[in-house]
Amino acid sequence: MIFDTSDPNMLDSWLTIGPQTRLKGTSQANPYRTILLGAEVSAWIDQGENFVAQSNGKWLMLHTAYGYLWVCPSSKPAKPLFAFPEYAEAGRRVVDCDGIGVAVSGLRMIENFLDMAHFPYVHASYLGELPQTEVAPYKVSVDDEADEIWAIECKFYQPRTSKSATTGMEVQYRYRMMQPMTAILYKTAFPRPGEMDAIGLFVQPVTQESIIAYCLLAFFDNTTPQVDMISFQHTIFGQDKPILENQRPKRMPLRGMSEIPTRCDAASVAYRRWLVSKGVSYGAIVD
Amino acid sequence: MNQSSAWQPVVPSHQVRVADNIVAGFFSAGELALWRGSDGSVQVWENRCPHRGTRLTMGRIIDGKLSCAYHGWEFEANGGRCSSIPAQPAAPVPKNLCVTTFDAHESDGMIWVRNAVTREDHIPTPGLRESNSWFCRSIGVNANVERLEEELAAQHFEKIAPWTWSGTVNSIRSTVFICQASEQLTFAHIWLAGKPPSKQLRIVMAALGRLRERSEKPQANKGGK
Repeated sequence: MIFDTSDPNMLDSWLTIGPQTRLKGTSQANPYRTILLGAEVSAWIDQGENFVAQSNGKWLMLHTAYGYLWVCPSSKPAKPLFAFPEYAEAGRRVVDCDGIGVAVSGLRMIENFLDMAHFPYVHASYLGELPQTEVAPYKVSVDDEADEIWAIECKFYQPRTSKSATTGMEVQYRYRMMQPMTAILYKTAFPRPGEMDAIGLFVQPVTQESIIAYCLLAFFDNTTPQVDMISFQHTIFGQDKPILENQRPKRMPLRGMSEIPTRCDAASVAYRRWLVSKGVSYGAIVD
Repeated sequence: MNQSSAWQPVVPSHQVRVADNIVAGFFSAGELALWRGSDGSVQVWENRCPHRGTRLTMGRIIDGKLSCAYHGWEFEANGGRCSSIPAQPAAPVPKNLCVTTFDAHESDGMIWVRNAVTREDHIPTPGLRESNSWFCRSIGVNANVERLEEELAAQHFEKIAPWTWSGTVNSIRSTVFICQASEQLTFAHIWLAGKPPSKQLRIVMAALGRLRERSEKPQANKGGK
């Protein structure tokens, strides 16, 4: 099986195939197997302790960063992997929450991640609460040099923003879209309100309509047990999953007016416009 | 006996309660969300929020309006107009922001929906009295409508109106409303003249199961291969 797309936005980018820990104990005879862009991918640690990956008998360019495995399907990356300085920043604790399978386009998953308006409905009593439904105006900007989009000066009242939260608070948010299938959000750290926690969302596009969404935390939190932090994140993702899997169509329509945004969807609108400008077709409807 | 009547029986009327639940339905023009406004009028909508495509059947009915599960957008009965976008409570909702709606009509215990692509005004009203007093069940059949009709005919059912067949199951008078959801998915809504005792009902259910099985085997009992 070969990759099921000619979209250079997928083939020439860095796509995750899961956390690095997947390769523990693997060998060529007993590799880690997964599916990326419709193709079987095998990865393992060779006898020289190198991390290697193959698909369809061909070697793939494999890179490890932020505790994750990154593959460039064409082996001709358009640019280096995005920077994630918070991963190694002093004072932060990195917790890998691993992945959750979702039967939807990766583009819809990223859009959901950038959305505050669903908090009081999908994440009621965690990330939002009626009647506080208003999304205050925020700013969207494009970083031309890094080819990334930012949504900044976002804020939302949250009854329980993270596992460590003991009261509700107005939480500041910033969103960063690095690639069509990866994004990071920054939000007020409950234990240290002057700082912002970071949550990375790395989407592995299994097919155009199914993904594995991995989540990596870089938090200012030295006390909450790791299992509780992971459990909280899985609760949130578990609330999003049925909503995402009930979007029709599963691919994101990038042409026409079949989905109507409103002012508070500025981040989503900028994301979709960015996808159109790049000519993204994987996981999209572009006819 | 116009087989291709634009009006199709989609869901039994009694399954959709007044301003309470949202029922999924399927017919040839797509997937539907059915509910009732506070005035009891049945609403037949495309099962897709115009905002981000979320199935409206995931939502709930609040104060006689349908609230989408994703962002809480509210849509009004009798027209499908969006009346509230909670994320921006101060801004007026654009006037043209509407769910796609379908014409509906209720008769013989069923909600009939018109495929808006064709314009047909004749509403089928078979006017059944006895053979559909008790709703038995709906079955989904992985076959096209012709296959299911062949099997109904083989069971000595007769087509008495568009999408409407009459016959007996285990000697009980029965009406079967059929609705084609797609090329390979057809629904049958089975009504009986009355509720049979449980022993007899088990036999009826088994007969309906066999009806489905035979319909799903296109070449069964033909040619002996």
